[in-house]
Amino acid sequence: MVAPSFSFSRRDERRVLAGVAGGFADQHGVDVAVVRAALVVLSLAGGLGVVLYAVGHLLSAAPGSAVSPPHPADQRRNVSVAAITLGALLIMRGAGLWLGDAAMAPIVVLVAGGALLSVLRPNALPQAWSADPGSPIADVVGGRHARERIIGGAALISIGLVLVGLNRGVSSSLRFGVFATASTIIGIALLLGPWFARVAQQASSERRQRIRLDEREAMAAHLHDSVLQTLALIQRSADDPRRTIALARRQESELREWLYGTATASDATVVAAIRTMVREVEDLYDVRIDVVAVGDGALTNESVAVIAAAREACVNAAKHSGVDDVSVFVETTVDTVEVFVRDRGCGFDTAAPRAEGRGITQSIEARLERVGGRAEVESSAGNGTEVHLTAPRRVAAHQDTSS
Amino acid sequence: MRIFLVDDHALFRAGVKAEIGMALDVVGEAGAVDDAIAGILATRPDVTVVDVHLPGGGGKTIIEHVIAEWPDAVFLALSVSDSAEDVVAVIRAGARGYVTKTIGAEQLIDAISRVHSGDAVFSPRLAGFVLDAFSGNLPTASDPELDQLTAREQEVMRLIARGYTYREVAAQLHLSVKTVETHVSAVLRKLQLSNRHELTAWANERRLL
Repeated sequence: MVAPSFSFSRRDERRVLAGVAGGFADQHGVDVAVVRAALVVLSLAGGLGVVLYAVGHLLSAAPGSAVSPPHPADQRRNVSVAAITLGALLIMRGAGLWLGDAAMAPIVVLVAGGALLSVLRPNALPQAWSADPGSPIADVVGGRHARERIIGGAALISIGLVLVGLNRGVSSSLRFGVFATASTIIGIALLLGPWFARVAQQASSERRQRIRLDEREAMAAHLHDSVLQTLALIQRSADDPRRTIALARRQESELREWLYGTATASDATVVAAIRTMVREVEDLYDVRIDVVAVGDGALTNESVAVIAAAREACVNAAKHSGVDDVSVFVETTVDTVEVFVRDRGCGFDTAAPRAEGRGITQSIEARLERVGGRAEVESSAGNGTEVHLTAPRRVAAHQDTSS
Repeated sequence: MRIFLVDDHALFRAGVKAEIGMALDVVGEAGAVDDAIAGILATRPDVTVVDVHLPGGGGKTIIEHVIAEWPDAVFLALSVSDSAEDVVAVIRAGARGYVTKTIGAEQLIDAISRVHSGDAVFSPRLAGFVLDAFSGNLPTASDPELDQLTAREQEVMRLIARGYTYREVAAQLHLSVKTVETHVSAVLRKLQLSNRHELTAWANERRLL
């Protein structure tokens, strides 16, 4: 059987040394395990395998420069390479480059057994390797021919062990001790491998299940504390529509924040502080306050003052406007904070003297003036009220340099 | 006016139907994506009111499929959610407006008539989102594909975000209601045409997605 062309390029992936064996295997349609096994046993026979590897390296091209696409492994070719190897072994034995039958026989049997197991590996195709790189154990012990492979491997290892045992006393006991240990380890690994794999798989699936369970519990706990409690409260206060609406409203905004994360990590931003303020006023006065926010930024003294003033404005709207819908618009830029609080209620005449005289507008205005901002109230009877609050937003660094 | 309702909660559909049934003719309803697409194409309603969150793809999928076969279909998105992602998705798919489910019956009927007559319906929240997206709060504002809003359009958006109706906006800016509507439609077009990746990146950045 003549190979299409002897030249081949070394393999870059899944190689052990320089990729010579893999490249050869790809080019000639032989299973790489057979090539490796041949090289190993021939190395022990007078170092022939090492010589062949070196020659192969010289003759082959660098990885990547593909000579032709890889051939899939073919059993006939595997067998012929095995036969050639056996012939070469016999020649070396005849030539005297040989460790002795006692040592070589078990090695050849064990290596051949190992090669056989690899060749029958279920996912022997390269793409299967890359598809599941994470579980080499499953790759070896699972899948097609699993039972045959395990029986075959156990049989070959037993033969190796028997050969070692038969030859004890004939040759150096040290060498056989090493072989015996190695064979035993391989045998145990092959026999117990599937069990280990199963245990490992079980452990990982148990872990996944536990994580899923934890998540479900966290969600159940949250829903219990919030949604279920609220639903229970709503059932009990069904004949009080205002209270029912307030409960539903509060729950809605809480759940929304939980689901969509409108709540920022800390309360230290303008928008987060506005939302907290609005929720308080909603709860206290049974109104609905819609917040629209553009931009955001860190809280400064000035923005805290604006938010406090906005709270006053919201409370006023809730108490005096006669409607229960209020709109809040907050825009934060690098240097200003601006808040509009608007209702469509009864409104009032801004020019007329305030009867109650509590100076609420005064307190809003004064508060903002202290931080260099200003407040404007626009209202007329029947047309609702809009309070416009602005203040500069100084960052800490500016305050330091301005003094 | 013939209306088609899409929402996966039968209870909610019944509620909306009761609320708008006096003024409008509800010709069909559906609770799932496939039923909705088939139903809309079969009944050819004047306006489809579509929920954003549905099992099997959501309102976005419905709008895309129907418009592919019937480009004149008109959609108004109605949702309980107001995350920016949802706003972007339905508007880009082709919805002419976006209102939240807390809207009152009268306002809903008004919004439906508005999209039917070819206008865009901007809730304050949507206006706020648009302002945020177009006004340099973007991490990389210098995208040539992202059309900038004109000063007038920005003013209009700001007033809508403050809770003004179109009529009130018109009065405030001394414009006709028609002009305000034209500005809003222009903004809607810019929102639909501007670079998709840019807005997605912006929403990602702010962890809105």
